[in-house]
Amino acid sequence: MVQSLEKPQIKLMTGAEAVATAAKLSRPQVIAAYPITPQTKIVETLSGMVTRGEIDTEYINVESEHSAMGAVIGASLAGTRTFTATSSHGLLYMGELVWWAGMTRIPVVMPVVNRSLNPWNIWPDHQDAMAFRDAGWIQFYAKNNQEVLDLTICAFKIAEHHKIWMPVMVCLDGFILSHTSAQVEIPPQTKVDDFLPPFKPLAMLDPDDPFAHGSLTDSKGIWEQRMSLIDGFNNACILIPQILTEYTEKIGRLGNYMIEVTGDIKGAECAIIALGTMGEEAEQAIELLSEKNIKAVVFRPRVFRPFPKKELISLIRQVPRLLVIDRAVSFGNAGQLAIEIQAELYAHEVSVEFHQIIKGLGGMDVNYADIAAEVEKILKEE
Amino acid sequence: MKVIILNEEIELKDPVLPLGRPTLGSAGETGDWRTYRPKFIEENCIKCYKCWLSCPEGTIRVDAHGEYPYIDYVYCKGCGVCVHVCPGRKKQKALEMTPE
Amino acid sequence: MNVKIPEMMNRPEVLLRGNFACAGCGLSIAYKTAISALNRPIVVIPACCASVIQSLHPNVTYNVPTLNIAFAAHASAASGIARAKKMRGEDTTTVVWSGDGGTYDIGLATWSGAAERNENIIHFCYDNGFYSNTGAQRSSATPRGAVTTTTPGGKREKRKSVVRIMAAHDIPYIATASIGYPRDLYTKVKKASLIEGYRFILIDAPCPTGWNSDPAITPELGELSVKTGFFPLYEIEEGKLTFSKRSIRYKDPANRLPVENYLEKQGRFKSMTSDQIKLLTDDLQHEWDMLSRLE
Repeated sequence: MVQSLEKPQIKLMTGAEAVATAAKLSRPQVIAAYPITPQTKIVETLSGMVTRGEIDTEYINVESEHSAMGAVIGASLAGTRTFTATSSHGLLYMGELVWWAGMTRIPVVMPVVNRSLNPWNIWPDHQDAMAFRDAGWIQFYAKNNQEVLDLTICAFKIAEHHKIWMPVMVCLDGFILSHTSAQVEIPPQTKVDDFLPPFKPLAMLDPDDPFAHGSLTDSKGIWEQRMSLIDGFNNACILIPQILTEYTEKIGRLGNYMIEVTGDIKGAECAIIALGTMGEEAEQAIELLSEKNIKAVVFRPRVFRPFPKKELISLIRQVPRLLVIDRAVSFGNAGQLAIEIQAELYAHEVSVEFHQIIKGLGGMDVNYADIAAEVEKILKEE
Repeated sequence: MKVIILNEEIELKDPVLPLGRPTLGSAGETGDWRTYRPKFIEENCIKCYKCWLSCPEGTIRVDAHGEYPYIDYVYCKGCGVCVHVCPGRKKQKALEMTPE
Repeated sequence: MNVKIPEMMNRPEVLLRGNFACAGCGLSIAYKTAISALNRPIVVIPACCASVIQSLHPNVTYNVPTLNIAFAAHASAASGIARAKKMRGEDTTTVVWSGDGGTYDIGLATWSGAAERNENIIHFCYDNGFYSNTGAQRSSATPRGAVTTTTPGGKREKRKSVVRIMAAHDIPYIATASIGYPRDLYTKVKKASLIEGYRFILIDAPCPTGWNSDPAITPELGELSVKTGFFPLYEIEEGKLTFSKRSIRYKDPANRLPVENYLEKQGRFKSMTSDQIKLLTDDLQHEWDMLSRLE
């Protein structure tokens, strides 16, 4: 009996269910969330788990996203592991407190189901999460439902590491992942418990040892906290691969890379760089290209904050040209991923042919054939 | 915590959290703010402790119930609330404001 | 029945002397009286004067655990704390300490949500009738006729009745209190602390800086607002309103002191005409009438 419990279960589930399952396995003590399409299935699934007594947590059905983040900030500082999830305008409405959590170091885990901003729609792009790339949060972008589950569990361990101690966003593309079923391997609870021990607060609101959190502060104090946040991200660059290694060793699959490389980098004529499901689509594209005797490779950063500079540069040095695909725009400039890669190319004096395109805004379909065609176009132009 | 990467030892710094600690005189010796100081006249005090109840700063001190109040001039801002609320004995107040 | 002084003296000091508060600060009197009545409080403070008077990091005047949070997040953050402490099995009292800006205006949705969920929180609103920490701008608690920096000609609208909105949530305990009567305030807080669920206490807290009044008369203004019928004291338990001993006789307008006695001591009402004072008096009577329906 015990043996069978140790085995992973394989289930067909949506990305939203994968998030909820990962949350359940991670034993958050307080969850506060407000529904927004396409995140709704996460909160509904978790509410069901709470009602059925499958998860021992205080579930707060708050009246807004702003309050969801307010509640988890309070709960985290009161000494509990916390979880919330949102999407699109929900993330924007929560925005003030997303920054609050980032600037004051609240180790909450929040999946963001990426959805385009207004006019009203329910389609995926990365504009919502990109609006918060500077908010002091670690940001993961998952490519499939399995990675959603694995990264969500890792996110708790990363957020709560005492040398990191900051909030983590796990981004998953709305509908493409959140509402599409795929096979997911669910690790046994015992293994997750072994990987993720109970929450150990670094500071807790406690009448026996009173402090004021986030009180009126002068420039010097703010400066020290901001510098410490920069240090925290530097620490995260080093510790995230270690934590992913531990997960892979104890639970399996995931791999410890910040950037996933698909295809043969040797002799590749072009590297495609994209986040989330577009990265997975690009994997299909290189197969199509290989049928036409074009060698391409995919670099998929699954961590966007901290930006995996070292890994990226060492990979880029090995290819002659890049195609960066963004699913969001910094209006007035270009796609955020492209902008940041260009900055690294300059800083490291890397000479590479650089191409950038914007794809899939407002949920416009991005399929592998389109991506392959873009690569062909680049090569033909020369 | 130290980690070794490519034979290079890196010190991982601890987070600086935004925590302030309870401190007497958190804004310094606020007695400096005073232009008038309350003076205590013991014989007029009926130990009603209205001054203690209403002092915004907590600078009217009482060691124990039944004792006379006294004033912590290091922090007393000289607002005059204590004088104003003092009923005194036979209309003679136990507190009065005097120039610094 | 009012609490006895020796009991109050035995309570720990929650507000340490030598802080940023102005001389004669009504908020300070409210805070030290109310919070000292509570068992192991954890206090959530949104943007308001209480976030200013705490002094500069890393020093702080509050001698209890305090979470500073964004303006419109007080009751949500407190909900999180209350649930987390319940989960941890710790005996603490979760408190929201908010000004009228945070309660009447920008934070209305967050407390309405927490009140509807009947979270185990005591919500204090120290009410000075304007935004004090940003330099005296109007709030919806500002009385008609009062001059603020955003109503330089005097406010044209009446003051909102936040208590009646709160009462519509059918929470277990609501009270009003005044820093003019600290023992009454302490007694009500003590009573509230013995009840479970969302509790709300509105405290009249004069602000000499913003009201342009003599710092020494802060408690007297608290008393006058009761005696003129400007700020009635009462409790609402299980939907039933009871006027407090200090206020009951002022239900009859004939017993009230003229409201001018209160207004003339404050610079903010200096430019009021007799017509405006009449309108203000009508506002006050309307509130008494509406409250009386809940008796």
